[in-house]
Amino acid sequence: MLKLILALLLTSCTHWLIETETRIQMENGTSEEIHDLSLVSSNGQITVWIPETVEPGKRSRVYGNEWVGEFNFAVYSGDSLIDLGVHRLKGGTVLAQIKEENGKFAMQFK
Amino acid sequence: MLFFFANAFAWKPTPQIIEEQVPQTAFAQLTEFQNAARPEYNAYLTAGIIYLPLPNQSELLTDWGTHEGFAFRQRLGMWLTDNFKGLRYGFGWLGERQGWDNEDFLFLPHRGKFSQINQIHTFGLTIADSSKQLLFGGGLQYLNANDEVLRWWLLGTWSRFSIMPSFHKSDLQFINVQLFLQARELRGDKNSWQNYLPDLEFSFYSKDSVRMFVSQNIFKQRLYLETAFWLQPKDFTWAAIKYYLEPSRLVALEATATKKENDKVYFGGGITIPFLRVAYNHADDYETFFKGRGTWIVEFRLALGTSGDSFFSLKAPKPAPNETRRVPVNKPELNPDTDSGE
Repeated sequence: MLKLILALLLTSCTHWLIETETRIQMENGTSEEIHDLSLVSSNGQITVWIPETVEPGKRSRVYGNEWVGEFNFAVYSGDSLIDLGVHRLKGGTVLAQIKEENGKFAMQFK
Repeated sequence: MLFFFANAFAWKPTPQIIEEQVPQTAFAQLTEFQNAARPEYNAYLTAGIIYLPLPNQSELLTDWGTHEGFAFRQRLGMWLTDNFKGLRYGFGWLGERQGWDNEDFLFLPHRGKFSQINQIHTFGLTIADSSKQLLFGGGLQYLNANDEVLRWWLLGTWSRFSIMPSFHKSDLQFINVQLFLQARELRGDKNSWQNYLPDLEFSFYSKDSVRMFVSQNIFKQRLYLETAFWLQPKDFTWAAIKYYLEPSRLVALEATATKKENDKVYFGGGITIPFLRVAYNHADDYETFFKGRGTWIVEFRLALGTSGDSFFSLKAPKPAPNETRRVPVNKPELNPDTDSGE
């Protein structure tokens, strides 16, 4: 145990304990077909996280990326990009449930 | 609990702040070399690692949002000399690796998509005549940020006066002029009223950008008032009250007031003991660690100079009290009758 603590101290590898990658699976809880779950920057750049089209009630495959922190998400419905707001990614695997609430799309991590 | 408190005032470095730190550290490194390589000294050894244990202590702020990760600063340096035919020849290197990485590390960074790892190195040769309190030096400086830059510098020190210009090709980049008037036992000065003369430093970054630093002894070379401010354009930078346990400056207690870009002044301080520095909102970290503030900063560090048998911290006026005792060794006399081989 002491050796393990010493090894952790020497290598300062808390990343053995903290994840730097987040894996997301998207679940479509809306009544529309959605595609390309993405991150949107403040100057309008887009990085696609899940390059898949998901039909209502279905789930996408899991995609991992090295993003941990707070980022703005969006998803496409047809040609229009729908803002899903800022969410915190803590690393690990999460299920992104996209639902329609009062006619608006919202995302929740599970 | 402590870290919860720290997170409430989270500071977030940006890629721009990390990039702008590189030339600032380059100037600071030259000044450190100037302080370390004095005609009366033999050697200088420095090392420092700022290690923030939590990934949300120094989140990187980009257009995409905030990224968990680790701002870091790792440095190592030495200046070593030797006597040859009455003159003292020296070689020095100060190196620093700084930036932000999405994983913490000691040797090998992870280099994620948003990682930014920059290096600054200063190399130099010196030649000194201790009896005349004279030292000349020159060398190169290598900056590796977005592009690689090579600069060169010269150094001239005579007693309490020192000048250090730095160039990029034939363009003058920086001149640091020191008038360290305070009497220093380490320099061979006697204790006198001159202990209370100030240390002055003028840093010329350009014609329109001149910074001044003043350090004033107010009690027995233990308690000091220090301030740094811009003469051109006129602006306050920081002020500090520093208490050293004794004049070798190995142990320091510091309280600082620092001005941020938004003109607000904030207060902080720190404790330095050999091998460790703990600080919160300290002016030095704002200047040397990506405008760091609002979080506890722990640095494993060392900055020791030697002169003869004595050692001291950088810029100290006196050596550390020497507690080495010379115990005479009684050699047992050889008795030819019994010790003639078994």
